Amino acid sequence: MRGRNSRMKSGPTPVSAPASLQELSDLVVAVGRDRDRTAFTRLFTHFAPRLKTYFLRAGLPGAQAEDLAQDALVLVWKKAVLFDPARADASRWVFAIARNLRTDVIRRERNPTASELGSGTPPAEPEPEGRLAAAEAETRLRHALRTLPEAQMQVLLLSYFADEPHSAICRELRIPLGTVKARLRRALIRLRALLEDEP
Amino acid sequence: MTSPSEEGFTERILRHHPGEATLIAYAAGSLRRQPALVVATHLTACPQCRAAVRLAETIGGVLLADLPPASLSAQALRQTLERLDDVAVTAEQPKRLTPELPSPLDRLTAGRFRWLAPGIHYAELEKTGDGTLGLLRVRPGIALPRHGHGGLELTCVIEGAYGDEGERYGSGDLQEVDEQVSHRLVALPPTDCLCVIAVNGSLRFETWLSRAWAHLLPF
Repeated sequence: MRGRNSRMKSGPTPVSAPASLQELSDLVVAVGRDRDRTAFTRLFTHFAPRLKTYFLRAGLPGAQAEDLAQDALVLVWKKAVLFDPARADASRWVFAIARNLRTDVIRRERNPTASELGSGTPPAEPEPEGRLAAAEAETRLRHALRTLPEAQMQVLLLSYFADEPHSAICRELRIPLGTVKARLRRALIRLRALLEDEP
Repeated sequence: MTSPSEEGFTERILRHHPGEATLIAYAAGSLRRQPALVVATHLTACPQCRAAVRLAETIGGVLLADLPPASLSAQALRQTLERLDDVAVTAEQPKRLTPELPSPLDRLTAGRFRWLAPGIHYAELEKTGDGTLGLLRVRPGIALPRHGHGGLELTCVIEGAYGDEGERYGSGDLQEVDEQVSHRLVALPPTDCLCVIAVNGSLRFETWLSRAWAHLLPF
């Protein structure tokens, strides 16, 4: 990835190098099957600092961002038993857990009856790819993301990681909403096409 | 015609979907909760959009891995480990409080349907500081009321259908309603049209009646 994410606060604690998707998947399985706390700690070390950044960029103050990162990892512990490595991508799975927290909590009083939104909530049909294919898809997705035109990438990153994406995008990039939508559409079309392109 | 409560939405090709920006916002978690619930309702009926959301979530996973790590407090890990002891590990299903509605709306408690105008009833599902989610039931031939302050509002048809400038929105279809554009959404026969709608801020129904009667409405 090009160095766009350079708004990092340099903390004193060194963080371990990002684990591979395969490793992450194995760790989640270990947590689900064996209640393995060493595996959980490794997941925590990998995800919690990045999830905190995700919640910070979503506009939350530091303490709450950290609380939510903790909440997400507790949910990982709780739901790991449901994680099927043959069908799921661990990074996507954890991202979706964090995403649901963000949707439920951000910028409003928490609704006491709030329950989690699944990714589409309905029973997920089995994904076509297996575990190996998920790792390959991730590699191809990374390559594909690298090839996105800068204009599309900027809009994509802000869509995921800005507080109020639409106004943030329009304001920071000084483009109208119609242009934003067009760039996102093109980015998704391009990524989908690149992923479906068999090598 | 089967209703959604019996088997979920009937399988059909839907013609009206959220735009890419909304799907990405949903997948990324930047969509507010009430519009997100409307999108989730559409997703239960739409395999095409579910696939798009999966792709967007996968992108999210990749982008998450590349985010710079923030520093955590010294006790973060220890606190989290302590919390694990209290976590009940179950694959529990959320309770279906209103089973006649499609997922995920069935987990909410629907308020009573209240009369809004001739042929129009509204039931609140959820109200928070910055938005409202509710059910609108409209008799055929009656126009759906314009319902908000502006900005993006989402409508998903649960039962029946409405027409908008020659376009038909049926069960499962989702429409992104932009208040800037002048719409006239009319419920189509033969049955009442039931929709879930998410609006920004508090509700403001504009019908020919509501200006005169607004002060009498319960919300």
